[in-house]
Amino acid sequence: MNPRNKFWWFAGVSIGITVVFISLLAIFFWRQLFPEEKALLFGLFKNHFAYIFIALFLVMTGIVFVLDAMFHNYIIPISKLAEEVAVIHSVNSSHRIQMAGSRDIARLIRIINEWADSFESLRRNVSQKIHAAKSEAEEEKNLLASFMSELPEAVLICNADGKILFYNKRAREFLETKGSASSTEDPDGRFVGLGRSVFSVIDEHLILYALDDIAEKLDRQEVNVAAYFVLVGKEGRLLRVEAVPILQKADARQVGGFILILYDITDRIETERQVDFLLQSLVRRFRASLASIRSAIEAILAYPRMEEGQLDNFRKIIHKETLVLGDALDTTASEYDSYVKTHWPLVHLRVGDLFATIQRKAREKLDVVLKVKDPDAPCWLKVDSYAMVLSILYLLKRLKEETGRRKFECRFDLKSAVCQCRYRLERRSRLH
Amino acid sequence: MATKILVVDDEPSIVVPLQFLMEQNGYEVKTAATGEEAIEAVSSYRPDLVLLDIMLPGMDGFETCQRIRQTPEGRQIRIIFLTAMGREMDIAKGMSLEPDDYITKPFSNADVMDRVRRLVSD
Repeated sequence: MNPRNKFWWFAGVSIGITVVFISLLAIFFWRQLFPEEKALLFGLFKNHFAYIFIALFLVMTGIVFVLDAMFHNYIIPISKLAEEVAVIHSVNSSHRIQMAGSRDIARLIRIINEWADSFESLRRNVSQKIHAAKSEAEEEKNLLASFMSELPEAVLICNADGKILFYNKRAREFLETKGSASSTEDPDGRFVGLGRSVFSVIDEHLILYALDDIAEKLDRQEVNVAAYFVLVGKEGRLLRVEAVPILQKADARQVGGFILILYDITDRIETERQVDFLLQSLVRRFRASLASIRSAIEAILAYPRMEEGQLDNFRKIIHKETLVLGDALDTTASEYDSYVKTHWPLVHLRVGDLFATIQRKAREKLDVVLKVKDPDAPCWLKVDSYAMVLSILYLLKRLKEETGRRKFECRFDLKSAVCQCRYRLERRSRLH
Repeated sequence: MATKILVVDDEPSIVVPLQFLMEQNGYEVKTAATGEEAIEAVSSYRPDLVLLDIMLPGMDGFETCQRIRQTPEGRQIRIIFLTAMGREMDIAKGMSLEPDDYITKPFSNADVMDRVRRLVSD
């Protein structure tokens, strides 16, 4: 209802109540009067009706004016104030109340506007702080994401219910599978995603087992509370999973979530299997050869008068088996060596790129100028780049100390599978 | 009648000294280089004891042992595994086939002779 209608309702009801009250009072008064008094009063009304009517009209008009003043100065402003405060609070904190009213109302409006200023300032501060915190959190999140994306391990961060809150690219590579109609186990595939359940990609029982293990370790107050298990990932890869709890700040024994770090151990297991096989083969070869040698020697010792032909047979056996042992050792050492080389963290590098790094480091660290002849030669190396750079810098340092020179030239030659590097002093006095 | 011993090994380097040793101790010896030869020899030669290597070409010593045990005459034959497979799991696997003994290489001649004598005299 609008204020104008409210006013007329209010005025009508007020005047009605006043008229009813005065009428009741007049009836009561009329009944108390004697007949002669009633006649006298009736005569007075009759003779002076115009004056009485005008007086009553003026009184009523005065009441209406008083009501109007009260309504416009107090009731309407207070009603509007409630609406305006609601706007400031919930819609627009910059809105200010501009309204006429009594002195008390004007004072109330001034106080409300001052409160609105404080409220707006506080709100702005809070918003700025939230924005700053959000930016910081976003920055940290991006940093963490970029860091995690470079990790060789897969990482999944989950809440206590197993909902995935964070994961890296490697986690998808290790765990996601595309569905196929022929697959009875995962016809729809397995997917890693934010908000999805980790139990859809990793067997729930394994995770619950790990969480139970963690809870027990927390109860025992162990330093390392991580739990481990192994699962089979995509394409039959063997994954070793380390489950680390996220503990709540309030209660260090209450698990608020967990982090799963997945390591692909397929190659390691295969490597260990190969090494084990290598070792077992060597041991069996040694056992067999030693058995032959020992048996032959013991026979020679036990039967010194054996026939020359038999003795010769035993000598040949001993000789042959010692050769077999030597060959077995050489073969094993060679296989082991090639295995170690295969698994050394070597990278393919173009010689020119490698020596560009060496040139720069030599200039910065040794004050040595190294000229590279034909740096764009199509020569590639498989090296541990750090060790290679370090060793060549050491060589340049020694050259500088031995010759007193600080300018050298180097040239590459590719001989079969070996890259030769020759260093030369600037004045053509060959060193290597 | 001399006790018959069958030596089953594909390595002549161990067969020769073992054959010599057994013969010097009065046993009659026949050799076989594969599991198949061993099974055939069990039927034809009817040995009292078999010295059986495990790592044989083709049919291995475990299977050879099982096959020998399945023959009517094989149940009575004493079998000793004589092998370079010395890991606990290898020994456990070998013993599950219920041979009469299990000797890992390298061995002493005296030890082998003691065990052979004990088994053939039972």
